[in-house]
Amino acid sequence: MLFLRKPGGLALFAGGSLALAWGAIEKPPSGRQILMQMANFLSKTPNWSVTVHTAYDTIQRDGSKVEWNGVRMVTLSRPDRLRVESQRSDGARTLVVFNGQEITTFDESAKVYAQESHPGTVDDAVVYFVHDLGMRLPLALLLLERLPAELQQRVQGVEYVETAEALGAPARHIVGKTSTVDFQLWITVGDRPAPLRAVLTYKNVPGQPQFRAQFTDWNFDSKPPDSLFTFTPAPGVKKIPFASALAKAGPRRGPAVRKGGAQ
Amino acid sequence: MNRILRAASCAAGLAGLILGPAVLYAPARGGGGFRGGGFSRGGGFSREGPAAGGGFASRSPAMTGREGGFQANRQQYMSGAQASRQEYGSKGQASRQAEANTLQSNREQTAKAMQSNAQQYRGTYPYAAWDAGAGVAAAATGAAIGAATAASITSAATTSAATGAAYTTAPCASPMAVPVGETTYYRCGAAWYTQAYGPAGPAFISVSPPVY
Repeated sequence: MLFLRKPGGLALFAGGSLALAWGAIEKPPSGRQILMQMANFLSKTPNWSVTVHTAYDTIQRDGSKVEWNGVRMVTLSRPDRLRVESQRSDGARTLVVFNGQEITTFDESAKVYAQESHPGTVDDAVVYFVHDLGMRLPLALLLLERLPAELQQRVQGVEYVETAEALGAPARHIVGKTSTVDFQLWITVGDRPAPLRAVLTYKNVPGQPQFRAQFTDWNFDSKPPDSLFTFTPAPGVKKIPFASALAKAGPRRGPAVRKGGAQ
Repeated sequence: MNRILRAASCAAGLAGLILGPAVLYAPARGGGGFRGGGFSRGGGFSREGPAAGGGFASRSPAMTGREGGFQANRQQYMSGAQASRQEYGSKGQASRQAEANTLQSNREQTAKAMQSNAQQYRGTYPYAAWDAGAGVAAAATGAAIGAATAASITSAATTSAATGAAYTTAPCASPMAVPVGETTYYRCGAAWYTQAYGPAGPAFISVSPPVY
């Protein structure tokens, strides 16, 4: 405290405090602004790929939670190409591929695939796959070109938490809510704002399970070849219907069944 | 010494005044801790649930309410129409045309109300929460798969399974494969199955026998 004995020292201390305080009280960025910058960037970027490590909770009969993990490699090429390779924690590998005309899902271990014709954009295909076919495509919303509009419509509130430094790159941590989901996103700071981490909490579901995702290896400069979006079944791989299509079709006519046989 | 203390106190007060607002933000800078699962995987645990879909929406009571509203409107219309019809029957020929017009008007009004409800449910394009159902569907299929796995294969082979029940593996030891058009059916005793791709992956789903 010796320097405080002199008026100059006091002025220096007060000045330093002022400088520190100025940085500290600077108004934090708007959470919604951060969210929409990410949405606009992802939706306008023509090609991108990313690896996503996912985890989700399931509530067991006794009320306990179990976490399940997986990894997905997502490659998107607008307007009408999408490939999602997935591996579950038990090793099961699946593929979803859209080539602008058909959407296909393939299970490597069961050696079966299902395919539906649905010409259009990735937006059309993703909504058709998830909503109409009742299939699962986690974080499908992030794939859409109309992501900004979807978020504007759904998000009721979003706030900035902090700039996190623990994810390998500075990321803006925001929290938001829709009518049914509370979400947290960590979005990279800079001119390419992309999510590094996402946590979704299904707040109206008993036990409030979460879905978590960690994004790595973002690539916005790739030009994926068309062959990446082509599905050619290997010999022995069988085509089966989507369960939803089966429900709509009802009983089918066919040849008479031989009575007896192995049962 | 007193002078030194006074100066220090003054400086600290000034700094506190300036830093005061920053302190208000301090709680918001806390870490974003999250919960994680700690179980190891094993048989008997369900891996299906609403969170598996990873959607930015889930089914909510509000949505059910809207669907209920839709149904309620329909019922209200039906009972209203029934009442009008009875009244209509008791009136003379002269008033029938006017009654018919009123009924028609009621019908149009009801149709508009139902349409409005449907639009409210669906949102702008094409549904307000199109990614909400995947988890629910997966959970339903998963529950069916779980129940089926728990049941003995023998019982599945000898009894007629409820339509819609799903099995991740062949539902009996030696199912008889029966191709019908592009679809292969599998017969286990009196029960029929076909393989289909659902939200939780490929499954053998109990179906009605194919029609010949």
